[in-house]
Amino acid sequence: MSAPPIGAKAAFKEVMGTLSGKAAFVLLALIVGMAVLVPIYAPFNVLKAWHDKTEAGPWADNPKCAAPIWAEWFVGKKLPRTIVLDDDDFRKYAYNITYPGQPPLKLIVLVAYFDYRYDEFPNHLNGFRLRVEVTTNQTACLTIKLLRPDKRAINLTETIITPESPILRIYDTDEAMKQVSERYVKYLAEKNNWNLTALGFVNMPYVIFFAKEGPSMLNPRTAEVLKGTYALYITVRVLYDLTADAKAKFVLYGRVHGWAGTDIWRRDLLIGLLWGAPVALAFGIIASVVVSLIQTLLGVISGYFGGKVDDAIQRIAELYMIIPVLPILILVAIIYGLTIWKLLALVVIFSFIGSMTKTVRSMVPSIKAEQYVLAAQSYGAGSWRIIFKHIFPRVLPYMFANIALAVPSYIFLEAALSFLGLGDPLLPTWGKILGEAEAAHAAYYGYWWWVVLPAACIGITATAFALLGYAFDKVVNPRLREL
Amino acid sequence: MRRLGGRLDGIRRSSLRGLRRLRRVRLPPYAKYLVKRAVVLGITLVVAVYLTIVIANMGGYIDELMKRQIEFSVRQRLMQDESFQEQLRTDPEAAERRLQIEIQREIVARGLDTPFPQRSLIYLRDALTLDLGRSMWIRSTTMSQRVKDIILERLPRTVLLFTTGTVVSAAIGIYIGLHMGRKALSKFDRGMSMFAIIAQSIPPWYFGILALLVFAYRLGWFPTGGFVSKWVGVPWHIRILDILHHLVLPLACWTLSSFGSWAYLTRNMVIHILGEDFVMAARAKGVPRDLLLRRYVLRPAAPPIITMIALALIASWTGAIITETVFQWKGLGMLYWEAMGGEQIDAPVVIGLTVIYAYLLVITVFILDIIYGILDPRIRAGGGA
Repeated sequence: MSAPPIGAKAAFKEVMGTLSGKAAFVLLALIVGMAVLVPIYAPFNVLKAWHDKTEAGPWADNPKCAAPIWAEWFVGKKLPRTIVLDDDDFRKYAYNITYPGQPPLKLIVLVAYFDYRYDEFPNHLNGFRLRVEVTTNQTACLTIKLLRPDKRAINLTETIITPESPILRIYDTDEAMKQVSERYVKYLAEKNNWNLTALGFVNMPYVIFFAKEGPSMLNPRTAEVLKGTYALYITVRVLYDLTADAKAKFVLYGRVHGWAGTDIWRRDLLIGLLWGAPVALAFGIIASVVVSLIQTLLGVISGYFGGKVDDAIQRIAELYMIIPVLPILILVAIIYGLTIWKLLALVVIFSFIGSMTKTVRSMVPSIKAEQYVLAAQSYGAGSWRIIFKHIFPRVLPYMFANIALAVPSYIFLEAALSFLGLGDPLLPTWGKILGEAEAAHAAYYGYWWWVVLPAACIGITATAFALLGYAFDKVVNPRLREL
Repeated sequence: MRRLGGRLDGIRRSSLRGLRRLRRVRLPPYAKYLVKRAVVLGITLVVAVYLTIVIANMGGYIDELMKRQIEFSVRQRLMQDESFQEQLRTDPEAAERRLQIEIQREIVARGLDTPFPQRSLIYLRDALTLDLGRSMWIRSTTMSQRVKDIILERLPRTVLLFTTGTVVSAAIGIYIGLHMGRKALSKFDRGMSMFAIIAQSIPPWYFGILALLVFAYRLGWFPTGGFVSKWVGVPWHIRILDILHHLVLPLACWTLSSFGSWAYLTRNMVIHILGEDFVMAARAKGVPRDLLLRRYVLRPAAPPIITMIALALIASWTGAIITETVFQWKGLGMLYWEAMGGEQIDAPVVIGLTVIYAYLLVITVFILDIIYGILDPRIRAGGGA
């Protein structure tokens, strides 16, 4: 294939001169930028973790359904971030207490401080998680206290730990935590003479534990956050085993996370969104280029040879119009499952004859009658040489416009199938994220970022290519520019 | 839209060699043209439906389902038979043999023992005669399991939404397009062109997701989906208002997504026609602007516009699966999705719907051919096709 006589370069230059061309370029740069960020922010091992939706999986430290950080610009409040207190954040004090004639006692105290100065309570789906692990061959006695800035202490638990199950896990959604918060509130109510039923007490541990003391704390709507430094105080007592050790991890889940928020499985949506960019770009562009190329070629062949070849191509075109492509695609996807490459193959199979075939077919006869083609024929050039060297380059600019205009339709096709849950099982795509949001009723619960961000990504990409195609169309169809 | 328009032109121009014989029959040219088109479309329909059947049956999936279904129904029938119950108590082995014989008989009766190529022709015959059979588990609201009943129950809803949608978007698009074309290259034209191109590249379900989020869930102005909220014991005018209330969002999304192509194509057509000599002449004669637009511009633009309307209808009937799913609009598209989305694919419903789609497409194209004939005197005279 040689360079077209008009020059693809010149066409590109002209496209860049138009407003829509420039806008398309900016939007495209944005999406390509996202694609470039993928290897930095979300390499392949992160992609593997993406599909792990288990509670104790790689995303356990992320809050559930947290909004993006920039959401607080709109609400005008400082929304809580996630606070993770790891082994290093706990100060450990260990004492060996031995009295003659008494069994030796190992006392371990773990203390961690954290500042909570946000305007909202922790995450409403899962406020906090505490994990204490004791390594000993004896039964250990464990107490956990939450010390509040107002000098009150809440006894979270007092329990024993056996060597058989050395790990204690506490979630704020546990029934035990509800009892703790109820006990605490009842104590306060007795002291201050509050009538709990009259005040409409709603037992939400993540609110009660972090609320300013007063009747307002009884309802999440009216409760105010008690800001200040909190402390977590864990004591472990073990008899007979001086080698005992303990470590703890505390996660206080926030309401905002990262630049794209999280979903119901705590996954950082930014990873999925970034990964969606190269997938969408690759799929849209490859499908569009391959389909346009085949369509154009068939158009040239149809127009150049005419006769039976032309008839056959027209018959297939007719058939393709009747076949309901989307239902068949869905059917195939359900019965056999789709990977992105299978989908690509199906798309090519179902659209290798289309608009470009028709457009090009109508253009070819006039090109074929031009003198330079006649000249080529007269010096004995073969049909295929003429097709590829003289006719194909002439229709190339039209093909570019068509490629750009067709990209959005393929991106949306992939998004639609993924939305229905029929997309590639391994790649995170924007459509799949949208579909998961729909299945989890994200719109109903108000998790707008889960819907808006993938939708925005799809929209921006589609807009970019639509604008590019529009700019190209104006360049290659000068008739549309003048009166 | 342009793509489909292109395909359609191809059909119109093409001719079937085998049909040359028809020329000897003395028919008026228009009738001959229609017969020819009907035959071409009929063959295409057969091929398309057959292709669908082959694809849907690949791997014997549907057959396996049908065999299992037969086994189940035969077993159920026999279980209610007292003599079989008796046999099952006295001689379980003989009962099992009898069951297998009955199942085998049923399989043979349905032609499921024949090789697939032969069987696919049976399916084809059933499908083309609209003998759609019984569904596997989907029922209509009247509890009928006949696929025909189920589809006929859903069809009006799809037509209500998408026919209205096409008419509304066509009206808006053509109106805007006319004004864009008249004031070509003005700010309005440029802005609208860009907007139209972008909007038409975005499917309605995409707008639907966002519109539902904002107008239904956040603002609560419209229902979050469905067709009606209350039907029983409600006076008819309230029912209509209720349906209209449910119709607003899907209709708006459908219009937003499809008016752009109408506007842009109308605009380009108007610009093209305004440059023609006969318009120049009319202008020189002093024909008023509005009359000029109506009589000299819109009339030659009619055939392509009608093509567009028909093809938009086709596109709406095939492409409505996701839009209907998003809006929980229980029409044909949603039925398709329900049939495929259950634990077991309801194969008869899926094939039945595909056949209906194919029929709808063919009928639309044929109506289009008739209208072409009416609008284009060349076809009536026998020269165009």
